[in-house]
Amino acid sequence: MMARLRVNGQEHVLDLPAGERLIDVLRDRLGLTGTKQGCRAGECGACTVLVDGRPMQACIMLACRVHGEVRTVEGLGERFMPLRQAFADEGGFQCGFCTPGQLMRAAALLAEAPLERLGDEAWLREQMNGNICRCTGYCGIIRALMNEDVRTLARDLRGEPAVTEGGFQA
Amino acid sequence: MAPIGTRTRHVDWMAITDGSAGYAADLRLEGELAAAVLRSPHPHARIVSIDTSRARALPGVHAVLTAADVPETLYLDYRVMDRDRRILAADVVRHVGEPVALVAADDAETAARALDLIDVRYRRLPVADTVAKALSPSAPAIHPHPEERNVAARVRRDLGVAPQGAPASAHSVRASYSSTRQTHATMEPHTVKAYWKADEKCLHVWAPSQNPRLIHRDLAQLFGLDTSAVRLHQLAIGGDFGGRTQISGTEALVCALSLATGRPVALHQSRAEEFAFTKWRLAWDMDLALGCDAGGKVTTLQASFDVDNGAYNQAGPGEMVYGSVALGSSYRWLGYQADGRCVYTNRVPASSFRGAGGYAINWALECAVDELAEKAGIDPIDFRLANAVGDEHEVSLTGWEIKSSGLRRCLQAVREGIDWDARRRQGGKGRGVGVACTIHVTALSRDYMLRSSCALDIDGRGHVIIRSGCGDAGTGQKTLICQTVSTILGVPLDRISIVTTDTLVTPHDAGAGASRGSFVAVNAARTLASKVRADLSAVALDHFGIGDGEPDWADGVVRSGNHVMELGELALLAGSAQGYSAQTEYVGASHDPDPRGYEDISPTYSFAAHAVEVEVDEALGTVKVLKVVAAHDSGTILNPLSARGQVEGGVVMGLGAVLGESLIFEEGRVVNPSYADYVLPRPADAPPIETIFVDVADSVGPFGSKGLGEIPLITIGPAVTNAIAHATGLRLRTAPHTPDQIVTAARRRDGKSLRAGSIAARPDRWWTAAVRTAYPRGLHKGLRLLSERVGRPRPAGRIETIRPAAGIDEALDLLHEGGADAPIAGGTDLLALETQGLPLPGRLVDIAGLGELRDIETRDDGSLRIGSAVTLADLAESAACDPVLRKTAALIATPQIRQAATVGGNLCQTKRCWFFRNGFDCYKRGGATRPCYAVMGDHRFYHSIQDAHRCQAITPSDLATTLVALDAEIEVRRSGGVRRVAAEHFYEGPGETGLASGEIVGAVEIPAQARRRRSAYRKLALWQGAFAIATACVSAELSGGRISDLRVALGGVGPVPVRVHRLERMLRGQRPDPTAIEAGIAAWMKGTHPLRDNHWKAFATADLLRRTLSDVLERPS
Repeated sequence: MMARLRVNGQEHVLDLPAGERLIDVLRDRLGLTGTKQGCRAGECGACTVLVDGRPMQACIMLACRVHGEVRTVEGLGERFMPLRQAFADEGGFQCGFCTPGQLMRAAALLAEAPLERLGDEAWLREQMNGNICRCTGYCGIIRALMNEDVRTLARDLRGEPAVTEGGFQA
Repeated sequence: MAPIGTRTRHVDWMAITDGSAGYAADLRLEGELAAAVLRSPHPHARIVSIDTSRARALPGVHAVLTAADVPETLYLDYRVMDRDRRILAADVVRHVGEPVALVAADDAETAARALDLIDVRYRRLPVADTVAKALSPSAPAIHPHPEERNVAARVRRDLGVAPQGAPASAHSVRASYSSTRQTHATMEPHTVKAYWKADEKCLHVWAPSQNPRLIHRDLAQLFGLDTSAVRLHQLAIGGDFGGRTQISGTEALVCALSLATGRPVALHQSRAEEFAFTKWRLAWDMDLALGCDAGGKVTTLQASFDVDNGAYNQAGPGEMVYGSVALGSSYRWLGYQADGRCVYTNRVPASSFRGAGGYAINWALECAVDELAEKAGIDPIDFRLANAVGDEHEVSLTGWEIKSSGLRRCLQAVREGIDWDARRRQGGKGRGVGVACTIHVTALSRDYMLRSSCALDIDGRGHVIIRSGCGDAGTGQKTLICQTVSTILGVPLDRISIVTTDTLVTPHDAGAGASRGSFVAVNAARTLASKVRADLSAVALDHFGIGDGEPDWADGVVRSGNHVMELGELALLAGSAQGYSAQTEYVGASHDPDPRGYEDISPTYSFAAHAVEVEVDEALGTVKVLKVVAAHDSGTILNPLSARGQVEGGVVMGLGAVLGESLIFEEGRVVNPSYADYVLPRPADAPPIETIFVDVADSVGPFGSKGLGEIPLITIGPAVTNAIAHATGLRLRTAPHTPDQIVTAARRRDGKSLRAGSIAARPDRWWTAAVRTAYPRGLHKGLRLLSERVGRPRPAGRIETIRPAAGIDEALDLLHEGGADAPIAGGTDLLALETQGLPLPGRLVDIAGLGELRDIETRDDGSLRIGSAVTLADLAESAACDPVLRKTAALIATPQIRQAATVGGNLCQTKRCWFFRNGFDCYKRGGATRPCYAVMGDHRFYHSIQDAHRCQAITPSDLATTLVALDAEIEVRRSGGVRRVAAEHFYEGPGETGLASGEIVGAVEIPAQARRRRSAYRKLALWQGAFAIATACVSAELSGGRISDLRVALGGVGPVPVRVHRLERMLRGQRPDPTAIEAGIAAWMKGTHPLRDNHWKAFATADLLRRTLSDVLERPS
């Protein structure tokens, strides 16, 4: 069936079989290979993307059912540079395979979580629990989220008009 | 500048964080064919015939290969003398999953269809799928060649004084240990691409590895090609941990298909294949006997061990030999004797894993030493300080010469860091601290490990391009190489780039493994940069007209006095118009192995000590790691950022190994090949880690550094096991320490019964008991054989159509009229079922967006109505919802799953039994002629302890437990009608609802009266968000100090959620008195009917229930 899919601000009209998963459309049709497939069963979080600002796993979503705006790691943009830098500076990745999913999950948290929660390590760990990392032991990822520049980013995301209901713009 | 020793970002950080880093699956080759592998379904069988004609005839198929079509060459693998592995099985298959035939087709679907058309006839052979079976006198010979049946390699060690000549030990420990069956589980599923370009006579290969040259060499020899005719390409590598450090079983398959077709071919391994068919950590069963004198000085160590090698030699024999040496190297033994066997079994081959042979032996020995210290009445840290090898210039009994050591400083650092002396005194009562220490190699002194070249080019702008043959799997060699060159040549990092792996443009590299990655790579880069600096300094001085001296190199400029020259200018002067190039080789001192095991095996040795604090819940069996202090002597730290990452990542991977991770096998087949079922650490379960580097400069390593990749993983495990001992008095000797083990060991220690339930209390279950008794006595085997002859399992399903619906009525009409088979809401379980190859409804109607199903509404009468399409995330956050419901929802799965999964979907999800989900042709999959694999197989966590009959699975919905306790009604909708069913009666079997065709869940309703009661919920799971082992929900009304109303529900214990009526009756009208509560719980437990290995679950559930009752009944009003 013909379907419209909005990804990173661009609209695509695609002929989608009912069973085609969002991850396959992103990677194979749109060439957005930043979104990674780790399990194809919704168990590892490597394929996390944002749909209308909500963190969703593209490997267990049928593309034809996606009606909102999809944002992938390629669409994270300059605005999230402090988050990307924090991952680099705090040891938030090693092999990097789970990183796009971690970043997208984190981006949703920064945009939507109560600010005071972003300083609560135990809460952050629970919120990041859907994203497996085999390299870092998670310490660097959590440090990155608690990094001062990232906190500033989270405040900015709330304070500026670029933030919209249920989502954000790059 | 980013000199050595400073915190330096990963050189690829931009690409990794913007998604442009190219992993194998991200690469698309023009005209790429899809590969598929036909794998053996049997652990041991003779191949009688293979007929590929139907597969070859299928349109879209380009090649079908069997052993007859590929070279007979054996893999080189680890040691030439151990070679036994072919590309494809020829006559005999020796493990489930062994590749038998290959297909290349236009697309993955065609390739999969072609596999179905290959007809292989097997004759089953006797199976030896465990070490014990393989060593039994009646075992089948898995390979014909071993002199001793199924013993792939044997090692004996005899160093120092003989046991009879040794001084008598005042204290001794004799104990047996079994190490974990960990698997690498790299986040990137293994993906290999190959393209034989006939016109170039070159086989192009993309295969992620931290040791690309080993794969390069093996592929060339397998196919009889010159190494120059095989080109490995640079890739981002999604983790290695030893799993890809040598060739796996897939690279050659893809190459064979490309050679046969002349087309590019890709093989994408699924996550399940990754778990089930790739290497795993060699598992060791060890007997240790060790002693010390009255003063606490160690005397002798005797060891015997059997190592589960799997069906072929990869690293097994070599790792065992190394482990046999390492075992005698860490303490000042007077004598050390060992006898070890590496044993072939009908399992997928085990192989190298971060820590190698050092992992298992160190875990066992550090646990035994801890026990020895306890017997001697000496503090464990003091005991290690007195006995561990770790003085500069000291030589171990095995010949290891210590060049530098911070071991004692590490032990002191963790003593302070964990507040050892105070916590040690407070031990017991479920809290404790433990310690362990480690000596570990930095490479082995073998020629092939210590020979690496590096090259660089400097262009006219002064930009340096380094060419290294290494493959950086995330551990940071690329960054270290760049730092090294930056430091020596004084060039800022942003003017340095690096190309790795590509065998066309990079020189030979020894790769990573045995903690040599940075040692070798940095040595190679330092050798190169030093030569470049010396050579170009001479050119510069000559140009400056200065006779001799040493110019300064900084900021990309070379200067001497008033003379200044840009590096680019100097490169043009010294080289050609393109710039300057240089290549050098680093060769470390090496020697051949000593057959006795006495040698200085490594250029230098690293040390570590870890201390941990744990909290052990003996009743539920859980271990919470509260704090880790990891102190390391890895010499001078070259990049504190990546070094810290190695420690933190290694510690958490080691925590996984000791507390949860283990592949579970049944009939030679992996039972838990998924992240849901393989228990690796998640962020919520991982502890904070304090990392300390004691920073003792080494005299051998580059810039004073030593290896660090493996030692954190080797050290943490025994520290945890020892901390558990301190907390509980339990000396656990089999890893991982899962809840079943702890509950059982604690009960055994206390002399409590290990058996819950009694058939006498449930005489109605005599028939089930009789069938269970018959299972091991031939019933299982009979059904198993019958299932191979009668029928086929129901075929995998796929989603065919999705119809939108404008409203609920339209959706119901579609279902009623046959336009759709089932609704889809979150779809999380449906798509998982599709991935797992299970049957599923193909024609769906989409109900996720229907407004009338998405409301949470408090009605005027105080009741609550929750639409079935409400997501678990919304349920967990909803202010209108009762706290007990919110808590139940918040503990289900992960934040991402909760965003999609719905209330209705949670209630209706299919059973999670790991046999059913993971490819076993069981009763529920294939029908009445099939066995239930859970009766004989591993049923410790996810199977029934009561009421089960033919199938032992449980209903996996956590929400159901709470809804039962809240008297909820499920509103069932169908076209033109509504019915209501009590949550308690909603299920008919495990994950099987009473919904008729055309019916869907419309909503759940919780009556006002139930909402006025006090309610509490608890869940026991292997990791936060995992499917439940058990859940409990209690809802009660108290009036006048008495329990006037009570609901008690349990989930995960029986085929359907259990309402514990008897307990309710016993407590209703009573004061919440502990004696009455205990009597009620005991009555429930007596009625359980556990399987062989899940009695512990009944005890743990009883405690979960006890606590949940207490949450409600003892809470102040």
